[in-house]
Amino acid sequence: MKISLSVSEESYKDIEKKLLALGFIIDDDAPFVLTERNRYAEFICGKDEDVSCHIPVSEVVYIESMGHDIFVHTKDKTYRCTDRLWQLEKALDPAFFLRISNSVIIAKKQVRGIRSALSQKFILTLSDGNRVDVTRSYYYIFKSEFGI
Amino acid sequence: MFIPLLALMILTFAFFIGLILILYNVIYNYRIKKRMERGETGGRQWPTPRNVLFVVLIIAVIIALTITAISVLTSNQEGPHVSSSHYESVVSKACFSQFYRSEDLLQSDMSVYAGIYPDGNLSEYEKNEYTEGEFRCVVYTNKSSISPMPDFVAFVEYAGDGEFEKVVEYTRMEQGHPQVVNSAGSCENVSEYYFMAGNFSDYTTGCTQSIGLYKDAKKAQHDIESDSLENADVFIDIRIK
Repeated sequence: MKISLSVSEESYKDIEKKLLALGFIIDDDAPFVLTERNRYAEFICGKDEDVSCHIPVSEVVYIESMGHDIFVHTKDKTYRCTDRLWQLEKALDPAFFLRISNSVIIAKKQVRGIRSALSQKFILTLSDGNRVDVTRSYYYIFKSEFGI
Repeated sequence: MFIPLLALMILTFAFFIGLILILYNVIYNYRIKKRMERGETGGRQWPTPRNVLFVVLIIAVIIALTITAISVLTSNQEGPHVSSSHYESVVSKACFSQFYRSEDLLQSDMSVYAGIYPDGNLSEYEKNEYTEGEFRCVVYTNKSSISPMPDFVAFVEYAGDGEFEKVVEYTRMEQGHPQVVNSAGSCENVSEYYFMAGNFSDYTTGCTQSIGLYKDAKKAQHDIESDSLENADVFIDIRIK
């Protein structure tokens, strides 16, 4: 049975060894994920042109959902991800990540500019130069989070 | 008049509300930029532009209600003044002139003036009595600008020895610059005296009442048709301003 691990680096090797011994196959594309309680993801599993890779959350600028596809944007590259956006929202540390619309999660530290529009929304400029909108549903959450 | 004024008021309010919102948004964005530069995330949050809009709208409504209440109260206090200016605009601006023979005056709507000739006075009127040729004239001019009474009242009597058959009279109202003269006349049998009353409009610059007496009725008829007094045996022009 294939399983994906989302655990801390310290316990990764130990858990991997135990699972392999029990006959599990460790695969990032596996339908099941083993996670630690009260722990947020340190990397996101994604694909760069069919090559599976771990994307450190510290490199993520924003995560965007387009239809059924999830794109993880870093400063240099964009990765495709198989997880749902709500799953990623739960997995990521809310101290560093914030959902700003139904289709976008941003890394708070990657925000370079905030512009208030008269139509009850904010337009954010991120560190990679891209612009994303904070929609009305998330307006007050964002405002409170940034203290503006 | 009221609807364009209301529309103008609403547009003015909308313009100022829009201006205030844009100004607030500029200041708000400047504050956000400064906070981002300093790396601040806590502190007191500023109201959103939408909340500012609500507050400004409420203030605007309060101001509009206050202005309306003040104007209503002021207009109530100035009620009699409005009433008199109403008369002023309706009565004094209606330009008219009437001519009656003494026999006809008693049956006319001006009969109230019949009793004052030859020696009476009219309150609020300035009396000017004089003789010109064989005519005796008494002209009363109204000193009040808001009075509903006629602006002038005049009596003309022929005091000479001649005997005449017809009287022709013309009223010439002069209006505006360049001057336009509106003329009207009539030819009737002579009488003891003649009465004239009239009102000036705001555009009337003066009035001339001309009276000619004729021994020959045909000459009188000729003159009334040619709008002149050239065949009159005696005549007088009374200038009223």
